[in-house]
Amino acid sequence: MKPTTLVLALSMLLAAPAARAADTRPMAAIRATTDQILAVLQDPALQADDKRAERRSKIRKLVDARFQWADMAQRCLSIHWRRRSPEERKAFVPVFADLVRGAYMGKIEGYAGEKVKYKNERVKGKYARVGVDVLTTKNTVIPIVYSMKLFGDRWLIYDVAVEGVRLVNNYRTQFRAKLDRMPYQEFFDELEAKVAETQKGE
Amino acid sequence: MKATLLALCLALALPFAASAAEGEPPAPRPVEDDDPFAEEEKPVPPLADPIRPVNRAFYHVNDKLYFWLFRPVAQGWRAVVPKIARVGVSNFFGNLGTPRRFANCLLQGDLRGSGTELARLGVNSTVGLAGLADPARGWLKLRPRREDFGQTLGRYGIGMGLYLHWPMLGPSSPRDTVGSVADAALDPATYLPGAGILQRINHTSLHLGDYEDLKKRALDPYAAIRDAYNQRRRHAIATSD
Repeated sequence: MKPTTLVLALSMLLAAPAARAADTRPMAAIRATTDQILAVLQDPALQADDKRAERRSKIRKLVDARFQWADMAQRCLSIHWRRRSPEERKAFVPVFADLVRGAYMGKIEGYAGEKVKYKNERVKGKYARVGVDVLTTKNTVIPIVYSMKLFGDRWLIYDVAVEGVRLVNNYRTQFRAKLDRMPYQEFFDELEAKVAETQKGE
Repeated sequence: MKATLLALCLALALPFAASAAEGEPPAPRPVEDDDPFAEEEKPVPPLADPIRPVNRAFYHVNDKLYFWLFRPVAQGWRAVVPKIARVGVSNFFGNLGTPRRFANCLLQGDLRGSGTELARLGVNSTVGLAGLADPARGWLKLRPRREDFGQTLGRYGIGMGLYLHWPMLGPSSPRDTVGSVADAALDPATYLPGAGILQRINHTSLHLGDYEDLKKRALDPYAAIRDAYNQRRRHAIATSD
């Protein structure tokens, strides 16, 4: 075997598909996470009702590994982020992540055979846009665009646009509507209560 | 009555022709953002909502209507009618929407789109069993162009102006309300008694859970819906999809 081929083979072995391996391309990163989530959903050992918590926990880890929650939270609070103390910011990020993640867990678990078509990928330096189409079982196509950034050696998502509706913009509008009318602490309490109520219903 | 409503909506829409600044200025971007895609993805100006109390009241009416009326009926429909039939009904009504999509593609100068719509109508109405199936998409990869008169008006520079949340109809604007009236005139389903309600119940039955999910992940569902409407309409006008 030629030396270069050997080195290549060895490096591929070392960069084996562990969850923390360096990402090569953003679309490949999305595909990897999607495939891993699908594998959990379709794992026969995790189908039973009493395995639901374990299944959720596995999917949650996969989702968390691909989203840059701190970046998203900052973008969603926008000008209000700058006015917050480091402690307030630290407290806000996980609650925000719970809100966004929690609602999508239901959708992920309701997976009923939808197909994902990976359409395109545009990379400009540390930023990227990955377009996918989700073919639903109702004969509709939902276009999704992931906004991604290279954090270290991993491509992470900091915004999602579904049919042109950007998630960050949507939350920024909602949060601004609230923060225009109430002090931050009241807003944060309401957010925490909302997350708690959502998690209770699961 | 309809003429008066039409005239009123046009009067509301015209002052906002080609308006860019609707209400407050867009939120400033994070300081450290050096996103090279920022140029093409300009921040979306918020949609002005000067009659918010009225809109919120109508939103609450729609919220109750969904949980008290549409959802239970749709659940009943779903229990009785298999999914393949309900998708068929959805395809059927989709096919009836061809005149609207065809006309608006033409008005926007999208000849390819209008041609696609004609092809889809031809194939789906015949091979597709009077529109119940969609072989045009499945076999021929001809996807529908989701165009409407509101988008056509938008292309010609008429802005949304302000947010309107109608009972039953939901999020809209003066421009898109005028558009909806024009679209209804071109839709054969408008002239079939009971077709509208069947279409609505059937559509709801295929999307049960979507509204509940929105409420679950929104701190302010009313603002979330208004913003989603704003973004979606701007995106739809900017793209030829």
